[in-house]
Amino acid sequence: MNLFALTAAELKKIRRSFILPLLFVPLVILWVPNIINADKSLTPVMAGITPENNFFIQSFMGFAWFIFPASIIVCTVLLQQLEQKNKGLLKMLALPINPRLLCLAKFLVLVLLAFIQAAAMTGLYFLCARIASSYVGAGLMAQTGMVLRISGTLFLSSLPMMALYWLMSVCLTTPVFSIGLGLATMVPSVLLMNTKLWFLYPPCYPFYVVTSNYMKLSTDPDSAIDLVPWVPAAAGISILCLLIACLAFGHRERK
Amino acid sequence: MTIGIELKKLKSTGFFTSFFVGGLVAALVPIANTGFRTELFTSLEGSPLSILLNANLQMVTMLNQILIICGACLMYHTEYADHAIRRMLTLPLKGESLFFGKSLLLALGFFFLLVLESASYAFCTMHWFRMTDGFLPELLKNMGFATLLTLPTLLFMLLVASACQSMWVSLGIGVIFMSMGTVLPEGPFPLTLVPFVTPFKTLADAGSGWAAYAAASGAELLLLALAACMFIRIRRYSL
Repeated sequence: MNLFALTAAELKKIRRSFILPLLFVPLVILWVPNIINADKSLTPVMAGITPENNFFIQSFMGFAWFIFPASIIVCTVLLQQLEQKNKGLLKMLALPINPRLLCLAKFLVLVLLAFIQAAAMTGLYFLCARIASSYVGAGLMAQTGMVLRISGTLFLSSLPMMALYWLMSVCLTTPVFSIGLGLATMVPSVLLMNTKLWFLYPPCYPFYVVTSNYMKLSTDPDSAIDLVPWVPAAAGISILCLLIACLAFGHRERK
Repeated sequence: MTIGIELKKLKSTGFFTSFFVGGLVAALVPIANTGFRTELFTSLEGSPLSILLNANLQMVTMLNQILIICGACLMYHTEYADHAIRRMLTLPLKGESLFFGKSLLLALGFFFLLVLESASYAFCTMHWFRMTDGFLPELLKNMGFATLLTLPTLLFMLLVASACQSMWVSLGIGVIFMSMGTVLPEGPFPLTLVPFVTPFKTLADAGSGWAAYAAASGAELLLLALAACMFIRIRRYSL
């Protein structure tokens, strides 16, 4: 089986799980208070930012800080747990399938789920900005191009984080530990983001992207993220995490 | 007796290790934060504890909640894995004592976290600020308030974990509620009473409304305990 067929099989496995509602509920929880408090966006805290950009960036900050990473962690646990029941993984490994490809296919499903959530977040933004505009009686719709660019960067910057969490869920066979550790790595991202070595800490990438765009839209229009230490570091970390995950995948079952 | 059994069950699950390590991490947060940004914090007005709580309470509370979620899920996962609960229920034990034994242990774990965090606040005050006579009473008051506000969350999470046989559903529900906690604390009073949202309130934040919060949390605690008793009697296990 090639990677594509394996990924399709993995998608079939999650069809009957509750993962999609679990991905959408936090978005609803995020948007309802945002619409109710939309009038606060009219008087931004930071100078120089327009109300519509403020509404957009505040909502995405809430998303990138907690909801997005937490959903990714829950997804990794689900993808791992699916195969633990009734020794499913043992049966999969008995088939003539390359276990490394299987691991990669599962990771691709994770990426797809994260993409669906990021896309749903962006789609809901356009809907909710329209509702909020009519609610407060002022235009709160930011430029479409900018919204798509920032949410696209947010998704791309979360790839190293996904690889890291995937590695954790593969190596830590007790799912509670991998979820606990994953959630715990998210909490200090606010602290580490302000240090010089932030680019070595993948869980803070998405939030860093959104906050630096916040700065760009408000006080410091000329600021840009330095790509040089960041992109090589991010690529290195992702490749390393995926490599170790692929090698370690099913190690316990194959013993 | 139940507590002894519960302790034995948790021995090899990593529950104690995770609370110990998590508590250390939570205690390190204020120290690291104050260490990184000493000038910023020492130049602020107000009592040292209020400055420290303002800067760190959100992160520390999140870590506490993560541990509560994981602890509750772990406790019931050991029951549901390999049909253990079916055997437990054939013993001369009441279902309620199973639940409240677990909640007592989880609450003890939470107290342990609070003790470590209090020690960390005290260390930060001694090292970077000036220790005053009013510090200890203020710390005790704040920690007592935090305990009262967190206990309903703890009971709620345990109830969710007892209801869902699949652990990742209860984990998912816990994480969803936690995400609510990061979005809603600024909302109107009834919304801040939702489990996982209330613990983000500090005594200073609550201001004159502290009595209302305390009373509401007490009422919630009673209600949840009652709901748990009823739920345990109705629940049928299809294992």
